Amino acid sequence: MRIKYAVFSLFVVAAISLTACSDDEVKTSEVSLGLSLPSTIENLSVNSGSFTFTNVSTATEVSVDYGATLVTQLPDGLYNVSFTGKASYTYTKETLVDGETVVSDTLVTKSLQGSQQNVQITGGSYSLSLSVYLVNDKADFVIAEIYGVGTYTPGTSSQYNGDQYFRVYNNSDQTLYADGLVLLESKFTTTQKYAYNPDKMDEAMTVQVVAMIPGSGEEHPVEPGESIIICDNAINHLEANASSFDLSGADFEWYTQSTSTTNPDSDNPSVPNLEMLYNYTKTIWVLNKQGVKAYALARLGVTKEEYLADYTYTYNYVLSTGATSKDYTEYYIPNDWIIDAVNLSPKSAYVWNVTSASLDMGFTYFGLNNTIKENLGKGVNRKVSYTTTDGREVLQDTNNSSVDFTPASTASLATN
Amino acid sequence: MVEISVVQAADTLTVERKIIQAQSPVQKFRSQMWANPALKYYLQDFSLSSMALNATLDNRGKATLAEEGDEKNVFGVQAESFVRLSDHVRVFGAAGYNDEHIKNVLWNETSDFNIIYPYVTADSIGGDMDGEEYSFMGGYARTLGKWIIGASLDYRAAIYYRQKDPRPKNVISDLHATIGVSRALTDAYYLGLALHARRYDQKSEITYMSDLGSTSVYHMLGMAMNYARFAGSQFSSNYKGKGVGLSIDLMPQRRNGVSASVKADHFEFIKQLISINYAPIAEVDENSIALELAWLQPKKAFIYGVKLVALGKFRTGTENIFGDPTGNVYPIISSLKQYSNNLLEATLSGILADDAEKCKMTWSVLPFAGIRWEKTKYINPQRYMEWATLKAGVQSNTTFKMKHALLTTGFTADYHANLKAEKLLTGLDIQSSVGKNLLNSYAYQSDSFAHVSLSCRYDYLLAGNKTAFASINWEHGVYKEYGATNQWMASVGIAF
Repeated sequence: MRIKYAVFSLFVVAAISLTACSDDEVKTSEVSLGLSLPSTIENLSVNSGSFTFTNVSTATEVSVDYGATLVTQLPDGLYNVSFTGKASYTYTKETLVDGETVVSDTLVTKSLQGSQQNVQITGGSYSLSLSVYLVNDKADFVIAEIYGVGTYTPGTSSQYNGDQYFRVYNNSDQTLYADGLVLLESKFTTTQKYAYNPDKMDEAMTVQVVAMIPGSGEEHPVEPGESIIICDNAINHLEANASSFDLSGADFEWYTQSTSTTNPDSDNPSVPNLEMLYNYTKTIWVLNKQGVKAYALARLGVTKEEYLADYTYTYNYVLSTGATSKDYTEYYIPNDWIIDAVNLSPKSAYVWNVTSASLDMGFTYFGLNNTIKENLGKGVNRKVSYTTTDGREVLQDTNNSSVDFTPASTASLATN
Repeated sequence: MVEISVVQAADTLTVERKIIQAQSPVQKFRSQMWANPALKYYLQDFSLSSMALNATLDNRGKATLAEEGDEKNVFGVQAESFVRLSDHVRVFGAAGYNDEHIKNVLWNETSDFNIIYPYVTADSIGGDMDGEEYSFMGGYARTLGKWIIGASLDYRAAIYYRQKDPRPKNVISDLHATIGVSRALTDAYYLGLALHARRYDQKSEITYMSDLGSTSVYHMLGMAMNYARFAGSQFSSNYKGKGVGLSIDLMPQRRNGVSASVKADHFEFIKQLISINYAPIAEVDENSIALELAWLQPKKAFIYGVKLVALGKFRTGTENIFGDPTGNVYPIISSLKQYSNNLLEATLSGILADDAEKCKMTWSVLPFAGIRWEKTKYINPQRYMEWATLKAGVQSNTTFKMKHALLTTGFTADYHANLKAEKLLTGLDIQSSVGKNLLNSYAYQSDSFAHVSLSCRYDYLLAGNKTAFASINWEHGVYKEYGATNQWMASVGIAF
């Protein structure tokens, strides 16, 4: 009988010890919230705003208002952090009145924003110092739409190529000329990060496509609130594919003069081609269908000849093995030349932005995941901010693609 | 005092008698201690082998976990043997092959759900799965002075796949190894001690043949949560597990009397994503303890007894959090213990049997009653599901001895009444496919049900001390809300 009692006791003790260690809380860290303000403006003070912490592992978001208590508690993890708010500063204005200099202080209030990816919050406490920028509110051309996944061919259930396009919109209240506008595709991808050396991100965008709208300066006027379409093949795709669109009326098409006999590029001579200053491919330029690149509009600050001669740099990066990669030489576009940038990434696969946060502090996406089949027929469309009294739509441009675009949306040219 | 007569002189029994003894509910009343190969030396004192072709059709309708499919058809061949090599040596083994077809598996593209839960790779498309499973077991036990030493190896290899998008291919290997010793503790008892080890691997890869490309897969974390960072196209995963265990058994030498067996196991595995340098995204630790206490006593022509079987299983799941993936290197920056699943169950059974060797008919009746409690929990967001179930039933077996044959019939009826079903599912999107699946799983496991089972086996005695046998078994379940289940099993084979 003593043996039986011993066995019973063993069972009870083991059961208690196995359950006693249950823990109902996950590890958290205390986060001190700080902003690193632009040093070029004196007296800049933050009026209001909010931080958004997006947990990379779970995709859950936590918002914390900017206020007196700049401390919050978050579960340990990797976060993408953004801040949007308002800031104001005063500057002294000197004007001549009746021959005398009059000095007055003027209060200016502007939008302030910033973002930082891959912020590691662990170990019980973390001190955040987020670099923020004043939003440039000068209206210009913006990328209003990127239709990048393409459609599929009904019946054959295969992917269809040739109907990708950009819609570029005049978001100002003046007629703008598209002549000389360059369309850029980033070299780097938003889903894979490397430690590039040198890191030029704060001063330039490394590109693999530089395609210029032709013209002498005033050949391609775009009225306020109007768009131009830049597409792959400017043909009526409906003739071959009922799920596509008629792009024969596009304003421009890109043509890369494929050197491949098995994969030739097609050209519609009645639609002007972009002037391909540089393109990484020798066959056909197809926009990345998973949406892992950034696209931008710029105006060259130099002649195209000077650009092609002088605007390359050589970099390398640290491989996953710890070794250094071979050297690569690529073109870059200074940030000052860029008038609009949009980072794309599948939502679940996003790692970082491949442009400066001053150009775009967020990203938008064709689909939640990088699975093309689920994203066919989808693009990204910029939201309408407001409509003027004369009926012109002003598109939202806060340099934050996460809030400026409707992700995974239907193409504006879709008719069915 | 009368003793339960299972120890016969040498290996001189007729096959008919061997089958009666091996199939006897009295013989099967104790089971846990046979996991120790040194005690398995005493399983029977005769050699008996069998080979059989088996077919199982298991249709569970709505009453199933979607992750395991709603219908399973298995065709296979099994062979097993226990050989009394000499007065001091026993060897035993088994081998099997199963060809399986599982229908309508949802939210699980991996296999062995009961082993790797909740960290399956999943999608909302799913479909049927085909599989082939091979199993081999071999064991050896012998006397060594006053000691018995034993060892066994049990290996299962399986492949499961689908020939339609999404196309998983899951390759599994599962190895159990045990070494054990036993010796007489007193004149009445043997004490056994065994060490158990396990190695488990599953490699899962999903491919797509469609011109349109792939669809999204998710790496589930339990309670309908998934690892959002790796959702999409992480199609290859690896499960690597290992386990250790210890069992202590007390077995009566004459089999009448008290027996006790306690077995404690630890099992752990990690789930890795192959395409990001085998990053270990989740880890499981499971501790379990199983107890079997039994008492058997003959009285006149009858044998009666009582048994308590209890199990406690405690599983925790830890998610690894990765930092900045610069250079495609995913450093672990933290680990969060988010998931737990705890199970406690106990069953009390009785037995009354007329097991007399010379009778034309032997019979047994086994009433049983038990309780089961299970709680699954996820910490942030806070979610849990909890159930308690009471069961009661009776099992009966009868064996008729005929001139050249044996007829064995069985009947079981039991009822499982839900006592408690409680849930909290913070933040669950009940309109989503995965949300609906979780709610369905909860409702199914909360349902009360009745179960009956009928079985019949006919052994025809052949020349050369062999039998040819055929058996059929039908199990039928009726759920209060979740419809009916039916399982048919048929076998034909020979025993010698």
